[in-house]
Amino acid sequence: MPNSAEHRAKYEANRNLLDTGNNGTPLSTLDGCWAAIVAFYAALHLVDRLAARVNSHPAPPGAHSKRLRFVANQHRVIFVEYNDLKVASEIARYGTLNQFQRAFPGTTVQDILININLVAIETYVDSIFNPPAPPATTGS
Amino acid sequence: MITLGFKRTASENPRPRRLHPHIKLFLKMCEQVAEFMEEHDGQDFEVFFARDGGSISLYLMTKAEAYNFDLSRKLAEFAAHYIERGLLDSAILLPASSNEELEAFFDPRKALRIEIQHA
Repeated sequence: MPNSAEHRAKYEANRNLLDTGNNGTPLSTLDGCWAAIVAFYAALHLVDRLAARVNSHPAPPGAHSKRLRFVANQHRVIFVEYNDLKVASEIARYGTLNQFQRAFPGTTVQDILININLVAIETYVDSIFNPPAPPATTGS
Repeated sequence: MITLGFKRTASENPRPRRLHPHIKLFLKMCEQVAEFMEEHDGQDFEVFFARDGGSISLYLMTKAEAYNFDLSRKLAEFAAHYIERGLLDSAILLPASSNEELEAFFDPRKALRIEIQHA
């Protein structure tokens, strides 16, 4: 099973693809459908990082369900954002191309799914792994 | 398609018999889904339960073609409790879809549709 550092590396690879796509162009401007899928998998590796931290490794069969339950149970604060990313990626993967484009028109993928939902998950996970330092106490 | 209708009346009758715990939990969840639908009356959507193997997923299909992030937030907040307890596998908001498009997600012929009848 990948460890926390490996999930972080996988997240970074997905995030890098989202940001730079091809020759520095964000992936969402090239292909919103594919960007929604990559955004979900970036979030998935962040969630798996959280799971690995407590020695939990959602694995098939039913890995997506186990992961969703883990988020609902232990990280409810990012449940809505993660669920939206999961659903969008399912519409991208299983829906027709027109269905996805009608559902997430224009810059919705970049403006909401990436810049709001994925960023919220990134910020939360970062706060777990890098909690703010406690205020320095002044000795007397 | 199987339709499960809930008739909302002014006073609820007490249940005369003891139900199997899983049935009881599922019916309770159906009632709460019906309440969720009533709270969001007028937003034009349909609700389905779809079974895949041993898991149950909740689908909310809107009449609008664009993904409704506000409604999806409310659906996720509602469903998180049931997903946490393992009663639901997932909760998915789908924008308006044809029957053919729906079939990519679940079998509409076998899905359970929740319907509210106002008494």
